[in-house]
Amino acid sequence: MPRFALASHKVVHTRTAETPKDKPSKFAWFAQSKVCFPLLAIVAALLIYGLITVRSVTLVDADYSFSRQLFGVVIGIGVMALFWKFDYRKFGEWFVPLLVIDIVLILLPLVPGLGIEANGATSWIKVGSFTFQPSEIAKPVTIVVMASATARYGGTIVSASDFFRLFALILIPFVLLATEDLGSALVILISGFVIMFVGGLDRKWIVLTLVCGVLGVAVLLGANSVVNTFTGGSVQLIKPYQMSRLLVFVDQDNPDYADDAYNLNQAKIAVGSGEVVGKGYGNATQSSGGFLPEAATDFIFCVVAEQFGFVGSFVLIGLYLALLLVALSIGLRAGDLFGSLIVSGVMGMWLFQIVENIGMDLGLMPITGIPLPFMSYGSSFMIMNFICIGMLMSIWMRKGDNPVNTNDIQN
Amino acid sequence: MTTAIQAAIIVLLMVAAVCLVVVFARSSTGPSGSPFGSANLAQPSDGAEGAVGQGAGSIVRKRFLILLGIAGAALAGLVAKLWSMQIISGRSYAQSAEENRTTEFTTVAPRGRILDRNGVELVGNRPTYAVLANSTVQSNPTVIHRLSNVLGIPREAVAASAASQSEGAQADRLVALDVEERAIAYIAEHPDAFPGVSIEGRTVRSYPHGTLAAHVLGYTGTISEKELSDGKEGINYTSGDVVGKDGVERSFESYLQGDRGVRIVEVNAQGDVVRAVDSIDPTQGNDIRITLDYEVQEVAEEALQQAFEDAHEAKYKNASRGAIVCMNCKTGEVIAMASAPTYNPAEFSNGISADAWESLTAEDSGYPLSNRCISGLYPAASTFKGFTGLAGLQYGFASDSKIWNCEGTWTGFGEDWPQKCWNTDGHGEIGFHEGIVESCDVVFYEIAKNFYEADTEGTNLQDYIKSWGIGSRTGIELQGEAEGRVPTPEWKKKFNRDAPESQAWLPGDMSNLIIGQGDLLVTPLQICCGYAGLATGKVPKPLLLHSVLAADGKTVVVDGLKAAGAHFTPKFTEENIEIMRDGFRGVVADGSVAGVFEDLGVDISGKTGTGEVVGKDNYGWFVGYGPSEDPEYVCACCIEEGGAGATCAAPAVRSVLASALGLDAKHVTGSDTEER
Repeated sequence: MPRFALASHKVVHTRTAETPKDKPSKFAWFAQSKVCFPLLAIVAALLIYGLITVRSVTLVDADYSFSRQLFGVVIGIGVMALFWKFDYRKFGEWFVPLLVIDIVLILLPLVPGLGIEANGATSWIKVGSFTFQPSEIAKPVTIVVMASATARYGGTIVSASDFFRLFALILIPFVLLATEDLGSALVILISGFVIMFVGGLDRKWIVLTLVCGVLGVAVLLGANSVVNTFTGGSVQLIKPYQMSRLLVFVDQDNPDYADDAYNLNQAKIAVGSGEVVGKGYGNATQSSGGFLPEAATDFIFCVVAEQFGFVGSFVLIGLYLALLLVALSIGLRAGDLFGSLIVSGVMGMWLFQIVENIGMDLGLMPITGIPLPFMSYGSSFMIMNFICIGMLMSIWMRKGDNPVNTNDIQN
Repeated sequence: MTTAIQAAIIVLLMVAAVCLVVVFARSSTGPSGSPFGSANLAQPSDGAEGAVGQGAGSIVRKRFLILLGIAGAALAGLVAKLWSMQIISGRSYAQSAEENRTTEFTTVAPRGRILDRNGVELVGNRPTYAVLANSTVQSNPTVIHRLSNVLGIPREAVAASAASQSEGAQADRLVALDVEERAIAYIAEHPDAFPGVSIEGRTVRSYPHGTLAAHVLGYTGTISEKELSDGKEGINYTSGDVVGKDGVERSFESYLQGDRGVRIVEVNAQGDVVRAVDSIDPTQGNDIRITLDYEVQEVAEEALQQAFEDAHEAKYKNASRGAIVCMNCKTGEVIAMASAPTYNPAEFSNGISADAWESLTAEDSGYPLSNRCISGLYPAASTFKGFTGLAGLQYGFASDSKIWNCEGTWTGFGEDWPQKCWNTDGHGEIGFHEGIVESCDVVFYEIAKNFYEADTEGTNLQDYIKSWGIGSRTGIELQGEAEGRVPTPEWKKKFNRDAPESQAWLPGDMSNLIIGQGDLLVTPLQICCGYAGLATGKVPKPLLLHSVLAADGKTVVVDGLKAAGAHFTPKFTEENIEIMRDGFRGVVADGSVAGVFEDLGVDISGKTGTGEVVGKDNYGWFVGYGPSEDPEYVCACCIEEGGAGATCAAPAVRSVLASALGLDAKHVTGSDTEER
């Protein structure tokens, strides 16, 4: 990959030299437009696909309401418009306040009387009759904070102190979130790491982080079993349900993981039984019969795969690839490094969520509560994704602007 | 599709993803030269670290493309896995989904009916309602509580039924059967109060004639674990099936049992039935006809009760138990078979309560479940003289011309062991014919002495008696038939193995045996079959199955009567057996029962008996057949503690024989006699 990337870079330079400026490329209209229409088109397509799919679940499962989901989309579009209008570069000036907001958002559900518990985790708050998951909003905030911090290094992070400073910054939200919502914490960690990676993290630090990540998981698992043995299970580093979800996809026959093995098996049956063209809209027996858990949220991809088969799944993955390509395009054309890094964080977040969510349905990934962008049921998640789209549009719109004075960032 | 082609397609997909990345990377250079120019990136960072030089843009760009490469590879991996799951293994996943979605369970089939030989229904099926609970009810204490109240069943029992998975996890569980309509109506009218509860039409056994022939018909019950594991050829039992537990219900189970229907339904993950997909209706079991004649059976049961009253008249107050059996002499078809006390098989049709079972099996109950015709063991008393007399004739110890002297008390085995004739005044000089008619014991004591003296440890007498079927099961198609007991020296030694002083075979054992007393035990059916043999020369095998009918209720599938007439022939000479038959004719014509049969209009032969049982009133016996010249029917009756057979048993036999022969089955009071 690096060789390929370098090669293309060279090509760019030679081409630039040879291509007359008055001969616009066929992508000129796209690059010159203030509005990134391809992004809007792809998001619209994903939204329609998602709403159609969620609709099929809400028809048979009264736990989910289609109008609520529509409501989330409408709010999301509004929020997107705000972020689109807003000059993202101002975020760079608000590093400390944003970091504070980030931490507050993450800890908000732990405030007594405000947070509510669901599925063994306290990651929701309830205001009036509305429930909201603040950790979702913490994701783009973390991305902005991380991008802002990383951008200061101007594209090269070589020294140990620089690396550890940035790494400590991403560890703050991760650790705070990990106990209650490991999935979201992982999303934040991965997107933060992607920002550092794109932001020029030196190769030795990349290797070190990956090695430490693998070792850390291994040590945690080992320590967990040791602690369990010595304390008789009264102290648990990893909750049993987390353990089960993490490991069920490699050890389905373990009786301790029976519930998750059942869920995983039902998810796989749902996907596989879709065959080539699917069972048809509204004929997803696995979800309508209730065999598939959390059909509208975590396992929404199964519903797509069951109803629309390989063709439908392929189209969805194609849409996601297109989304990532357009995002990449925005990232490459951003007016400043800060914008590029925000885009990379968003890309990293989406990629991780897509691969993890779909991968867990296929038995390739551990089971986590990570939803699928623009598809899964849930307003907080929907709004969060629209914030990202809004920022991407803002970055695109301002790609040719003169940079704002960023001196304040250092202060 | 071969795996090679599939692999090729997956590789192609991955190549396509990589190409996309390349194309995009080229096109992203855009019209303005390098949009990702270092200038762009350098600007915002300008005043920051000041570290961004020409190389920063290229490294960011490079990293972006690596990120895209990772994305492309990951998504291609997902597509590859999707291909393998949905296209390569899609069919098997689809089957799993189908198995998830649908479940199959069976529905109960009604049993076949039981008819008498003329088609009169003896056991039928009555439509009733069952209350069923689906799998959700077990975890719903409110519904369990309500069901308990409405059905009047303890809450624990409802909970246990609702939790039972005996018919499969998805199948509905039976909570109550034969529920009264008021409760059914209440549940049906309040569906919201009873979620998961359903009402289903079922059939239960009905007995239009109440307790009639209960011992022959038997009863039904839910299959036991053992019956389920043992199985039965040709029947696929399911837990919860109703099977025959006794009587012909049990013997002809394989005909009566129906085939369960199958219902394929769509279910959701909770096991709730969403809709029915397919169903095969259950097939009712075959109707069977049995050889009983409803009318004769009814007469037999009334005659038994009348016999108890006759006994009570004769001051035998304990009479309340007895047996009567009537069969066709030649074919062995059992026309009537009654035993008292009796029970109501309907009590079993929806599961017998513990209390009811207790009262049917208690020690003082008289064991109403037992069919005394086949399992009642009695001393044969003087009815035995029919066989022992013939034995005496066959061995030459008796003859038509021989004369004996009866003085009332017989001391043939020495003064120390005097034995009495029932007529303690003595019969005086008496021939063999009169010996049978008067049932003189001394005549038979003498014959016993002859046998004993010929061989003190010999079993010629016993062997000959056994050759008439005494001491072995007749083989009737009913459960629980007793073997009876014909004592021999060998038997006595074995029987008293713990009491050496009682092991010796004494002359008295022989003289007791010959008059049907002592250690001898017979069943009424053995006596009945034996006398059929004496009447016709062939001992028939009793038979209950008349025919098995097809679903239309007419076509005969199995002709049970084909087996009729199975018999065995003991050894005897025509001359000797005619002497016996003359004696039996004399018993009815000139003996103590003459009055009973006087106006019957058909010549009947028979033999009385009065058995002595220690600590009890005498057991009355009568066995008779007729018409004497060409015997058609034979009937044996034993009344426990009924006194003289002539008084209690003979009138019962008269009624039954009359009914079997199509004559007036009225009751005629017997003589009050001491004759045995």
